[in-house]
Amino acid sequence: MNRPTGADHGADQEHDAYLREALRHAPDAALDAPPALKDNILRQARLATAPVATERKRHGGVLHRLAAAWAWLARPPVAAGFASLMVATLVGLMWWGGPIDEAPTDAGGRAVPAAAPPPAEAPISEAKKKADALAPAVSAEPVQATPSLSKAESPPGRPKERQEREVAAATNAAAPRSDETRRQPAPPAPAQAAAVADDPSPTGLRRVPLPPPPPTRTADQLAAPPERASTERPAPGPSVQDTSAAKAAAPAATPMAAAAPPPAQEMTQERARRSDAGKPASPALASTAGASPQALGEAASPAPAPSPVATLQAAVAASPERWAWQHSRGTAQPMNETVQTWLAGLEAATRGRWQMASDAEKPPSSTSLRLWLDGRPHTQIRLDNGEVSIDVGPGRGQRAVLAPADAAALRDALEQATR
Amino acid sequence: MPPSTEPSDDMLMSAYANGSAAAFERLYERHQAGLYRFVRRLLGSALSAQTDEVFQDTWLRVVHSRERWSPQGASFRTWLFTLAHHRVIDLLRRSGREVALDAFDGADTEPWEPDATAWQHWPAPPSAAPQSDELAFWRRAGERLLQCLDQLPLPQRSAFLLHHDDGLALDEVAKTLEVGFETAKTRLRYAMSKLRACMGAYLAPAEGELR
Repeated sequence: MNRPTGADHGADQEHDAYLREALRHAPDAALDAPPALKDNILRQARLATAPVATERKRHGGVLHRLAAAWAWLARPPVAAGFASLMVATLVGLMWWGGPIDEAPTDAGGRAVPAAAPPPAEAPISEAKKKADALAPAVSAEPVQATPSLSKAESPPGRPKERQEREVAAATNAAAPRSDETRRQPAPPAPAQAAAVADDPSPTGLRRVPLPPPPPTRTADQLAAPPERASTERPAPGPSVQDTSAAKAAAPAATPMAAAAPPPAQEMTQERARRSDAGKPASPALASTAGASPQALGEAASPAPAPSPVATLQAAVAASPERWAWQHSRGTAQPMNETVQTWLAGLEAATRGRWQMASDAEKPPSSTSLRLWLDGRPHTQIRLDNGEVSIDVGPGRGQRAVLAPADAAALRDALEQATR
Repeated sequence: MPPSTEPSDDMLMSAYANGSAAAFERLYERHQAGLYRFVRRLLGSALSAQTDEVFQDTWLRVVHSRERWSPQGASFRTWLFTLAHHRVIDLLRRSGREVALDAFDGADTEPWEPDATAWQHWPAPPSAAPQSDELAFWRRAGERLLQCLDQLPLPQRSAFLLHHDDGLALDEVAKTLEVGFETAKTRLRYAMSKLRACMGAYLAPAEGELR
């Protein structure tokens, strides 16, 4: 860059006084910036240096970052991704710990209920009639699914709940498919309902209801008269003496019906407690509702069917004062030890021989022993040639075929005990 | 020029960079009139409506660049007019006008130099209290000069205005226009030559002597 010489700079030869004077007298020589413009500029200058402005700028920066983050979230791909993640998380939480629904579906794709819970108290006379009609057919076709419920056949390490569900599916498949009963499933037992309601698990709503535990025949239930049982329980339900029949006719109750009966002492205590409370309800429901899955799985194992005589013997032993016996040739007598001893002998002789029997199969009666409970006929034991039958109601009989010698011995013992 | 007792432009600008708004106000009061005239005359009559925009933009550039400004090199006034010059060039380019940065456009030869008798009919430069007839003459000369300025290329116009109106020395004009000293001098000579020709052909000769 050329630097001006002192002479050039000092003399300023490029300066024209005439032009400068003309410029000084130009019309715009006195113009100033408008006051509004001045104020605006000075305000901007103050804001740029004011601490408040700095703070505001910093705060605005935070807001700007938040706004940018929100704008990023509002982008459709990001929003869709987050929505999918939330839905997946929600579904995962709902199914957390819950079993996979393996229940069969009907033709409409609708999940078939795992099992129709048998009503505990509500009498459904119509359903009972249909069940009565179905009972022979069902008994003629033993359920094939029951053996599959065996614990031994279950894969080791399988979850208990899955086992329960398989049991429920199998029993449901074997249950009598009455359209009416499907449309009007019996309400679950109160104890089970309470258990479901009290289930704190968040998956409780999604869990397929397990088959309600069938009423285990306790001493009190065993002592119930047949009339009341016929009106308060559905026909397919298990009865006292026809345990094997219950397995065939009411598969839903099979696991519990197949369970070994409680010891006589426990039954006695339970019955005493029931008597004190004066409640004829089914306590077994409450006891089984709280049963663990393992207990249910063990109940599903094919344990030997309890002898109806053993059940009757236990009931009599629990409260002999309420029982009475009546020989076919005499009148009713209070229960005594002799008859109880005979019942023990009968149980020993017929153990493992009981099978279902219909009314048509009843042979002509020769010798019989009728047992009364609280003044009402409860059970009738018939001794015929080579056969013992026990009956607690229409269609609820069982019979055991014995050797003629054994049958004769039993008959003789009965004659002596009732003499 | 500010009195010597007043703080210099560099000091005020440094104070403003440190957060003193009052320093900026003093700077503004000190330079706002000259800058506003410079911008308006540089834009010309065609773009005079944009004067406020360029003027404000120039000052805001000062505000935003306060922390980067350094007193080394050019003075604050030089820097201020440089910013304004850049803004005018930007505006002219946005408006579609051709901005000839070559100061010698169409001038292959030496600029016309009036002889000593060129201004012999013009009155002498007015005194502090010119007479009314002289004042009227210079006002008409000023109006004519503005018209003649519109006909000058931008580089020559800016060089002339910085030198004659704002009182910058040639070296400061060169720094403001970011050109060499000789270039600035040449632009100024061409500008003066054209303006003299324009003004001499218009103004009616008057009685008086040239200086």
